[in-house]
Amino acid sequence: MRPVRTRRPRLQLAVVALLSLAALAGLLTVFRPRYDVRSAAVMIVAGLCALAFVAELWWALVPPPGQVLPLRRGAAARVALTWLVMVTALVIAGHDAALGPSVMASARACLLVGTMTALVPALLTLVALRSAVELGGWRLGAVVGGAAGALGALCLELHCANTHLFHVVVAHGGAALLPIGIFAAVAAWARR
Amino acid sequence: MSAGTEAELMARYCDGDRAAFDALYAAVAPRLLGFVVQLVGERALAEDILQETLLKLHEARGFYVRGADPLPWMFTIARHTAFDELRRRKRARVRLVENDDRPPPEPRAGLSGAPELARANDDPAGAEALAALDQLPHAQRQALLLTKVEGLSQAEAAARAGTTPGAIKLRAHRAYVALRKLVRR
Repeated sequence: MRPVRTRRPRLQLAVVALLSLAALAGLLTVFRPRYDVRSAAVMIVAGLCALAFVAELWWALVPPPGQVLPLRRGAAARVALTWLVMVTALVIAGHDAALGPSVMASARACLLVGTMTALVPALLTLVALRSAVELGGWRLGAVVGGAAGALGALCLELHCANTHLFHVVVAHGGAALLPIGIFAAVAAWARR
Repeated sequence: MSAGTEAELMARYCDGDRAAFDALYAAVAPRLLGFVVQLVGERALAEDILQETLLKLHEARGFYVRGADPLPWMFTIARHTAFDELRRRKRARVRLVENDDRPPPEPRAGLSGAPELARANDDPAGAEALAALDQLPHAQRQALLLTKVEGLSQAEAAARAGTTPGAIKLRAHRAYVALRKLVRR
């Protein structure tokens, strides 16, 4: 019988987080950070998004003590709450009163950039979880998508300077929400 | 056998120790089989599902986290395999012709895995209770069997059924109420 290397969740977490952050840094080098990236408000919201990314990645990869599968009670509620906190922070810190014709002009680009960024951690996490995705179902998929979406939101927070309320909620919040829906559907499909 | 021993056996199995697999099989296969029989109601089908579960476990053994209790994971794989098989059977259901000369279907398995008809002759009241149990929704029946027949705690039953202890408590209570109504009728 061939010996196999067993899973080491914390190591996987570190690898996925580091590779994702490296991909984020690469994307930001290509797309350029926003002009006021060093301001306190941007740093606080970016820190919150990074925290959400790491927390959700932890829920997705590291099982509760004594368990094999990374399935936690109230996983869907945790993802929803994290998304709400993130979007609230984006709105509070980024909202200004300007209402010009360009408010939604870059929304499609933001959604695209956010989702592209989200693909990196999501695919890496799915590879790390392998058959557990099928067992975890849509809830585990939503947690993976939540982590990926948080990285997408972090990327947009560091790149996009459009701080209008509507744009922030629809484009940046949407970029964090879209991967949740996509990967919950992927995991539900994998279960069939 | 304690969870610690199963964890140790599973770790040795992942290291390629065949004897550890045999010991693990002896420890968990009867429990898995009993669980699957409860889900599908046919012993022969349950045995097929058990084999498939163990094959899946073998393929996925690299996913095991050392030190963790492998049992809830195994029960989750078994539950999914059983549901997949039931779904596949539902899709593949065909209308049989009247002159079908196939052998009669296997009798449904009772709680112990023995054919239900045999029990019905010995104990009519027990047969009536089993028939009533069959009419319960799957989730309620499972909750009742895990907590009352197998004697698991709510937390253990929840881990096995892939739900929360609160849900198990609620389902078992609803199963009681429904069962009482069905038996009184």
